[in-house]
Amino acid sequence: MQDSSTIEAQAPVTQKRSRSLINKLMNMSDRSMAWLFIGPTVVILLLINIFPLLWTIYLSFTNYRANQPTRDIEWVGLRNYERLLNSEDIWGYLQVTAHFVCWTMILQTIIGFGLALLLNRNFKGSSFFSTVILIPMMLSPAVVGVFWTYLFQPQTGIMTYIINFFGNFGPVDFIGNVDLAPWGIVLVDTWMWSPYVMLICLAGLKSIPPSLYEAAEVDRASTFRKFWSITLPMVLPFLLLAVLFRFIENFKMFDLVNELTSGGPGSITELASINLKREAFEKWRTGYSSAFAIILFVTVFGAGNIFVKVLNRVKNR
Amino acid sequence: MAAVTLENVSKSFGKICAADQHNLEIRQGEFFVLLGPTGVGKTTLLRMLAGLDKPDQGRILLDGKDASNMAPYERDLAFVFQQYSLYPHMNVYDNLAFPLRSPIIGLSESTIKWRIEKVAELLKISHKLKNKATALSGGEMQRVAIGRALVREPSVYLMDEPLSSLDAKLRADLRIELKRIHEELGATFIYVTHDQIEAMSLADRIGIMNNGKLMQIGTPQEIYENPNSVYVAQRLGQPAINLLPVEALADQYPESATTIGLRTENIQLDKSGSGAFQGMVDWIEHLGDQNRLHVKLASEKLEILASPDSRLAAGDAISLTLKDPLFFNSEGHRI
Repeated sequence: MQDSSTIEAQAPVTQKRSRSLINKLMNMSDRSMAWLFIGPTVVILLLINIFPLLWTIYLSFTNYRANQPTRDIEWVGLRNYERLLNSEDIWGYLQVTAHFVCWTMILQTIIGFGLALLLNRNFKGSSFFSTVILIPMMLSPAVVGVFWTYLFQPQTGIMTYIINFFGNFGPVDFIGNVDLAPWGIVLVDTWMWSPYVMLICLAGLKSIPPSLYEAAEVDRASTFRKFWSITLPMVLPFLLLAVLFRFIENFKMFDLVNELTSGGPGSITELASINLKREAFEKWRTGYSSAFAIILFVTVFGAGNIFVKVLNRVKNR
Repeated sequence: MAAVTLENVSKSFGKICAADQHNLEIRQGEFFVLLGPTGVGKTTLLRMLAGLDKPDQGRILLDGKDASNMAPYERDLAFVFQQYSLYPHMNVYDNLAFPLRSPIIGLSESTIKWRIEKVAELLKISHKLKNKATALSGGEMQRVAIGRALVREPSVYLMDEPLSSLDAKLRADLRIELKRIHEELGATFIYVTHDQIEAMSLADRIGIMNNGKLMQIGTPQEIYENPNSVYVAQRLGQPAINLLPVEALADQYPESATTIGLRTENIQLDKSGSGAFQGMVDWIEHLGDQNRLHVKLASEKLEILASPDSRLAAGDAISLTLKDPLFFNSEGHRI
């Protein structure tokens, strides 16, 4: 505050001397400087985030079809929403999504946190292992989808081979079998993204000063108590953050599963976003799918907000 | 019986020797201070006593029992860390309760509460018990750290520079407080510091350390009056002891002596020229309760304390007479 007032007070004097660009910039008030910095970002944000969002909201109340741009756009009110929320299929897709999101979150939390605890022990070669473990999350989801279809291939894939080590099961089809397909996509997503949870947890673990454990040791805390009263509460904000990111990402999951199963067999693995793409770009029901997109957006936004609230409570505890 | 005994305890980190053949006996109820500059192995010694570091060699006995291979939790001692090491996600009460909630102790929650309230009152943090540990000032954190050691009521307290990060006023207050607590509890305190005033005012005995070695052990007075080496002499006394080549001053000195050590009390100042050596007041630092004279003596300089009413001014000629100066040989040992 004080800075800006003194700069403004000096401004008239300097303006007389020179009007070069540099001088103008130097005489800028803090407020205009701030606008200069955030201005470009704000413009881009408005153009590619806010405007499309508002446009989608508008379209969700119409019967617009993107493949017939010349047709008159008819205002249909809440009819798209009504049809969506009364459709049993939609609830089915949301159930498939919930199954996928819940199980990937649970498994990735356990595996990611577990790996982080192991790698935090700084054994010989731990940095090598952490690099290797991080490879899956650095790959493109489309590539991962393609090569896992090969690994899952019932006759020649390695998964059948591995499973038949434990008994004679015959060919196992992870993505073609109605019972296994929902677990197949969970498995691949967990393989790919557990390292991400691990990475964030590891950062959390590294941020705990070793002296706390020494203090606890002198205070006669057992290994379990050290974990329960120091490690866990101090890593929890990091863990929740990782889980929040995974929740949002997996709620919107499209690429990996589309490549693996395209929603099949039947619609057993048809996640909400896969169905949305079908409605929008195969059936061209743009108004209807806009309404669906808005519903998904509100859901993920609401759930995300609850998460952030919990996260802040944990942090400020 | 000795509360803590070290027998030939050695420890090195790579090429650095942090503990070189320590032999030490600390009595029950004693306030023992380890004094030395940073990096001489004071903290290492403390950590070995706590069981956080293992000695390479030698034995540590606690209460007469060999504790060399005991885990920290098996030793009945508390540690106050230099960097507080409070549990940041807990409030002050839970921090203080942490050691008491150990299943090994098995106290009821009401006993725990009673003990914490007692200690909090002693350390004047009763009104902060509900605060988060990270929402405290440095002085309060330090007091909580000390409190966490006190609630345990162990037989030995280990303190690693517990007052080093406090401002001068608070440090002086807590120093008195610690001395009082020690007298009340009658427990054994082993206290690490680089501050000679802390060492002098708190200690029953001081151990002066250098390069992983205990150079001299004794009461503050013994060490101050009878340092066994130049190194030890330099650690105590303010201003620091004046060290001069013997030829500069003494007319009579032991044969092997090369250095003479002079503190204020070894020098008698005279304005008249009757003393053995003639010098000149170079400049004077006025510290209020006392003056610090910087005296020029041929090519040498001395720092001496003088009472403010000595009415000396810069440029005054003075004469000095030596009283029982300390002599050291070329290796720095006392003669």
